Amino acid sequence: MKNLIELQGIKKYFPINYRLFDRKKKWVKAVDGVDIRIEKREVFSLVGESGSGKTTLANLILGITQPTEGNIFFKGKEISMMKNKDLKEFHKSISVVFQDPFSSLNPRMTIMDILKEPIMENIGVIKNKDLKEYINILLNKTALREEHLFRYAHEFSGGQRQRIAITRAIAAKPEFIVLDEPTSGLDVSIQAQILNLLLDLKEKYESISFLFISHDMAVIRYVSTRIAVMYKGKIVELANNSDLFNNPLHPYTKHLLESVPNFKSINKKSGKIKSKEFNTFSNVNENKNICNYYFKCHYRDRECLNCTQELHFVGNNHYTACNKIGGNLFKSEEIIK
Amino acid sequence: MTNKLLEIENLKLNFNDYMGTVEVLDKISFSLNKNSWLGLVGESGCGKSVTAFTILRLLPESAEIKNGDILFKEANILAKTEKEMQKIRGKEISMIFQEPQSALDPSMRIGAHITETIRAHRKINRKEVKLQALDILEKVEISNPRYYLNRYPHELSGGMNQRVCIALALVNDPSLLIADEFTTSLDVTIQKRILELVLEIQKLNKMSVLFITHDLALAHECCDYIVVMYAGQIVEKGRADKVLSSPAHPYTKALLNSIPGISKDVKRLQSIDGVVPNLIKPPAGCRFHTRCKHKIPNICDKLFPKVRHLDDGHQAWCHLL
Repeated sequence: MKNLIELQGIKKYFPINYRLFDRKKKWVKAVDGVDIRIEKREVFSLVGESGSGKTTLANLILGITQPTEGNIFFKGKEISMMKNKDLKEFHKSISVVFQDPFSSLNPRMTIMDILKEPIMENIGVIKNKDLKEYINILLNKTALREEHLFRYAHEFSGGQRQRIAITRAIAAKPEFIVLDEPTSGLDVSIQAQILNLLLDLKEKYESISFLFISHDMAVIRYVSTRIAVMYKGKIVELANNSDLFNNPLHPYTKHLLESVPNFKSINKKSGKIKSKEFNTFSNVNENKNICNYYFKCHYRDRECLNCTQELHFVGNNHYTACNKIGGNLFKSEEIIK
Repeated sequence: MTNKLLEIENLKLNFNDYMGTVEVLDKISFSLNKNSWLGLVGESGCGKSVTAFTILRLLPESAEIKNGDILFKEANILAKTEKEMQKIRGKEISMIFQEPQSALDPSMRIGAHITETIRAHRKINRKEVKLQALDILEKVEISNPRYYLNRYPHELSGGMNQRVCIALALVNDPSLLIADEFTTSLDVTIQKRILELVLEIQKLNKMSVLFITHDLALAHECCDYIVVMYAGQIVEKGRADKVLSSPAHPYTKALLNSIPGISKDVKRLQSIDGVVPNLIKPPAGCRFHTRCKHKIPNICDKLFPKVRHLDDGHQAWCHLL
């Protein structure tokens, strides 16, 4: 079975309580029907802007919050049904690296303590000598030095702290690492260090899968195997790395790609880049079936007022929730299939 | 009548910290023409924001300007009194920052922010102020401005708040806008719109923009000229397209090679070993020598390089050239 993690129909709704006697309960649909499978030995990336639901999705996978609906499977076993032994194994197999390297390391612990903790917790008690040897191997993998072990987190720069966080994440030999915007707060040259480190770890540790979350398309391009694009709690497109960038099939993905500043921009300072302004106030009533992206979409038509927004397969491991782009491609692929 | 709006000449700035004297800025010289965008680029700690604050004379008590001149419209900014500076800030020179929620007062409505800014610099009656407030909100593409005049900052999204900050900066028609990483906290699609907006307004008003950013690709999108800073010094400057397509300084080159892109070929990113030096006892000679792969021993670590003039105003400070 090649799926390490599988999500089926995952929803996470947060209630909004305006008044005590509201007839209709309103919800923030942070994650609104997501199906994902993450395979062994891949870097699966979630890309989306703020409010897309990617961090909530990561929290659901990590077990930090519980889904409102849906199932999460780890190696074929459903998480909420897991009992002691399986649950422990599940927790041992996953680790996480957060965005903020300043708040994710305990300021009262030395680096040695920070690294020892997951080892003792998940691998068990080992002799000091073996522990020392093992930690040295870890430090080597992430280009940290032995003298760093006896210092405290505040003595290190942001990039170094993030490397410590990554060392901590691999310490207990996990099968799955979640990285939530691990380089967003770092300078570009430091970011390069961390991204290269991740790629190296992927090579060296053949059995680890990564869930990489970011809003930065360029970073995603550099590290990913497969990419899911999220918008307002739903996955709008899912494809292999090069496919997504060479052949985006959802209007939102296209919009994201066009917005990335790059060095080849021909429209520089000519004022020709004029993104269409759409009025966010609309007279359309709360139509429950309207596509989430309708109001900002350049490809919309009347059909979009009533759309299931379900992902459909278009061939070559590529899924999209919209059929307005490359519509013909989609149809011809069906015939070939 | 010169075309130069802002001229900074040989600026040297120290902070007198309890730990020692931090040599924050050293030999900073550049000029900004009228109706032009200049990008001040560099990573965190290089001194770009401090340069902006020096121009606006908003430095902390511990700051000491050891040397240098700052000429704005041919008048020496460093010689002005605080009262004179207050007339300049918000009117001749405006600034927008990275975090709109920190820049706005959470207890004041949007309308109040704008009227306060207008009235600080002009004698104007209530009715006219309100009209101008509505006008500027429309200019920054906030639809339904009447509604937003009465809202509080927390009721607006990040992108809208940033538009409000831009409105505040532009309402008194400044000649110079200093933009300090003003799109960093925004989503990439919003960032694009806001940048386009400021570009349009800049063209319309023939304003100059000093754009501070760590994002070289963004700088390429909008800047005419670019100044690359490292550890408080300028390492390279010139026309943006020239510097970014043919960088001369090892730091600029390394920086460009560390930026991931979305093009077809995905090359291995180059990182720069080591960390930014401590500026309390900055490295002698070229401050980048501690991390430079091409360092020439006994030269790069002893002598500060003389400027190398490459063609068309492109300058770099490196012994290798």
